[in-house]
Amino acid sequence: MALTKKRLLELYCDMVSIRKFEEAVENYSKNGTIPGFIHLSIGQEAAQAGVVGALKKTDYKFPDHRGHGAICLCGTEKKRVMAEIFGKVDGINGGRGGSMHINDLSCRNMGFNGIQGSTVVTALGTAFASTYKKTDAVTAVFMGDGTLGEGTCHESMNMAATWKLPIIYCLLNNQYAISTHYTESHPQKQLATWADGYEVPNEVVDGNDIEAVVEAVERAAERARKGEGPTLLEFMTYRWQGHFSGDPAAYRPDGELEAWQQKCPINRSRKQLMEIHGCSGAELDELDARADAEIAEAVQFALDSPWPDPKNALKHVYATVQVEDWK
Amino acid sequence: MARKLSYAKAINEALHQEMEHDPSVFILGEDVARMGGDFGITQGIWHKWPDRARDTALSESAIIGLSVGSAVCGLRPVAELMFADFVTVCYDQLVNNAAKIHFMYGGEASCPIVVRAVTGSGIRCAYHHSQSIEPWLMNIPGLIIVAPATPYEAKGMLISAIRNNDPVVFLEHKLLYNRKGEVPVEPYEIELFKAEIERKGDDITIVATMRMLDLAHAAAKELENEGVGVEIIDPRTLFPLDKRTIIESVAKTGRLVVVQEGPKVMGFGAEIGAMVSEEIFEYLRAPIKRVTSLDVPIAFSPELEDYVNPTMDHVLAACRSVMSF
Amino acid sequence: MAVLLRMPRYGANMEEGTLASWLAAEGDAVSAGDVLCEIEIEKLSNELEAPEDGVLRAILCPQGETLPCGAPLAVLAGADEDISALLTDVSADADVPDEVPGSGSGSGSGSGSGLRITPKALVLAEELNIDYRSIAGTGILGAITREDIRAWAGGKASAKAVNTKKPDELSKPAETSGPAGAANAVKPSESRNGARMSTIRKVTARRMMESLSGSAQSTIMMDADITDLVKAYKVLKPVFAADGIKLSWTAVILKAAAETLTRHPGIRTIIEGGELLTTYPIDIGVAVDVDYGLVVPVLRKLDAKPLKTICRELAAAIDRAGGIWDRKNLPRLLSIASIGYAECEVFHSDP
Repeated sequence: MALTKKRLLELYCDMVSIRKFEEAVENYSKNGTIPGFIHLSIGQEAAQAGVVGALKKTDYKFPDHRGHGAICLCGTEKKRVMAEIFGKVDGINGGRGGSMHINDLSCRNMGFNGIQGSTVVTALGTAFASTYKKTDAVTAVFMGDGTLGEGTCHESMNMAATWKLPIIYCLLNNQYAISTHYTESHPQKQLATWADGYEVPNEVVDGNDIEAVVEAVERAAERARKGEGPTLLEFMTYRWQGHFSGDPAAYRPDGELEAWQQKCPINRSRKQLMEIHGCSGAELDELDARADAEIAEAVQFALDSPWPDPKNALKHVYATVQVEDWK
Repeated sequence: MARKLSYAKAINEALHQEMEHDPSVFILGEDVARMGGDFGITQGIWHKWPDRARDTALSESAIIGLSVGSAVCGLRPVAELMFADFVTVCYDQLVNNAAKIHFMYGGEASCPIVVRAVTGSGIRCAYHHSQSIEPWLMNIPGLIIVAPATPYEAKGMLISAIRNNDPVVFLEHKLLYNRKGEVPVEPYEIELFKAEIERKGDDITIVATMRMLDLAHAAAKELENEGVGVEIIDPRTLFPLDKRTIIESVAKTGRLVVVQEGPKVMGFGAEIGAMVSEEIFEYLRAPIKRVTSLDVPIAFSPELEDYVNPTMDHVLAACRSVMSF
Repeated sequence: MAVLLRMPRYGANMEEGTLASWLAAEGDAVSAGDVLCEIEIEKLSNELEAPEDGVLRAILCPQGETLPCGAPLAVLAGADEDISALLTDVSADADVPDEVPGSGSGSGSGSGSGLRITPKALVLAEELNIDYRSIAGTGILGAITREDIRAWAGGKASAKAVNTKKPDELSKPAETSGPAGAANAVKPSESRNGARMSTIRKVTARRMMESLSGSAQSTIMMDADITDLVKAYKVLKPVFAADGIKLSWTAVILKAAAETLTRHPGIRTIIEGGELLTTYPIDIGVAVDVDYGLVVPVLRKLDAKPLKTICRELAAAIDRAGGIWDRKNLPRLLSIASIGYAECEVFHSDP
């Protein structure tokens, strides 16, 4: 079942938007405007846009630390995501979280985490709440090939499988955990087979093919909503940059990046739209330009937004206790 | 109406009443449902509410992770850590998730979980089932650490903990489970973050929790015969701490002895001592003394275990030394 | 037989009590066991019962008054019994000395005493010769803090009104009123060869005898090497002198005795009502020879006081001893007699 032209165009825009967003973040990180370090997801746009695009707004999404794209697509205004990454007061979390901890409960972006494997068990909770409250919300948790080394993945999948919790484990296999290739740290040729031990259905998906991603997630979501339990989807993809912005990624063999760039998910969709759906290049360029403008506006918003009042550091530590400020 | 209940039974009653009171409350943990808990604390709940009492795999991370995630969705999980020592295998969930939810969501979500953890030494189970874990959790802003000492406190504080919107680690001392005391039948709350002045006195302030209060009271009685008045304070909530009550007491007595189970290094006694000397050094008449376990793992043999922990004589010696300073 | 009822001591810690209310009025006939009045100590309330049948003839303490333990409260007697002698005694008795406010471990001496001062503030007040009692404390529970002392000193210095009187003198308000009268009443008499003894000598004699009969008689003599102490004494003496303080061996011995008593509760254990009672605080009497007899002013709570403070208090006590006689202020633990001036070789006194 192929996606309609309209849907594919939407997803194309989403992917372009992610690309432009990440490029802007990279620029402002490199010139020192954005504090701290950031993890970019250029090259992985299809997996992010596809997962979020296949889910409902009421589904729980746990993007990971390389998740700007997914976060922007959950429903939070991009300019407020950008301002958060800039550490400004208008950031969606008031500057408390930054790049790695951007959350927005209103669109069920639960993406709080800089710790690999941590949300993999937290996701049990939102899934459990769906069954407890008898709602049809599913939970999608993003993880990477590196995440699978964490013991929590075992605990989570074991419990989700036993209790038939509605979880989709979205494993974006981008080949490297920082510098270590997944074949050097895992015995399986294909990581998805790891779920076989828990009798959890699993699929290997071309993570740069937006249609394949969307369809796989829709299948998994349907199973979950029917009460048939979790699914693990392994999206084969590649991150074009180093682990963080500024990492030269010298650990990659020559030619590997170039080979993956040939499989660019955006170019692929563009080709499909032009060849199958009859879109013109000018039409798509126009969409690209709109994305450029949108991101430029988001950056300007972030630049213009003031720094938070330092005293905000004391807010929201507890729901029931005000923390003492002895400064 | 009140009648005598054990500490264990008081906790069980609180759980039953809160399950009854609020349908968003559920319990989970290893052997908490069918069997009613390794220490029998959750007995009878599964029989009444089979869907709301869940036996889990031996997966502490999953237990706490599930609790955190479901709490964000509005549920009120009460998880059991069969032994507090097992906090090490779910530490990430408590520290990096539970304690940060409210902060990260800017107050839009909170994390109303209760983690019941069976703490302390004295049952001859050696170093993996006997540790006093308070300090491991006491510098994690966002967490609340509660340590009730009596059946009355255990029931009231557990109900408060369940109704509280922040993550609470509820410490239950295994040697107190059989302790009996007056407990009202009806549900009631005891204010968290409020220390209890258990005994009034003018000469020494002793701060102690849980089982250590027994030593404090015995020493106070002894010292009374010597004309020394001991004021005993049970912080009850260890973190965030009710500093005011301790400060006012020490400002009056000028002398502080902290009695603490667990190693001395970086224990909560160190925090209380530092806090007092920082805030009211001017009022002190003697150095602050800590009476603690030795800085060693808890050993198995009764002879070894008992040597490690403080006794009443240690408390007395500390009190006499501050009186004669 | 007429009975003088006094402020009871409920527990070793109690130093004073407040007469909360009288439940019997003057002239009421009461039976043994009837509650006469309520006494409050801190937040506890106690009832004082009539020790025997009789009539409540005189109430000597109005409601609401706070008095030290032992202070007269009422006279219980037969309806027509003559109680005038008892009442006369009471008036002579009236100079129950007030506790030195805030001295020693006394911040703990109960909320009833009102005045609190931090140990550091006390030292500062003494260094600056400031009567701190009139300073309003801004610290916790109203304690006077170093800040308060500094602020007061700063304000007063400019107003040229620093009170240079020693706190010890100031802190004995009884000195200027009641006790002076009491002292005048005790006229030293030329008692010789069977002539009548002065009251002070009678009491001294009685106390000596009580002490003899009330304590186990044993004498232990030990040598102590005080070479280091002598050295320290020589070093400290000029240092203290620079502050206008006279360091004496009596003060040193007082300090040493206080330390010893603190560390060895056994020595301060007495038998009371068939029970062993370890007494506290560490109060030590110093025998002072005055021209009309021997008086023993008591220095209170010495365990909590630095040597300098002891020196000051000792000096003040000796000064005062010449003029007044603190009859009620009896030593509870120990008395020290300084007889170095007498050039004797052995001095043995059982008390």
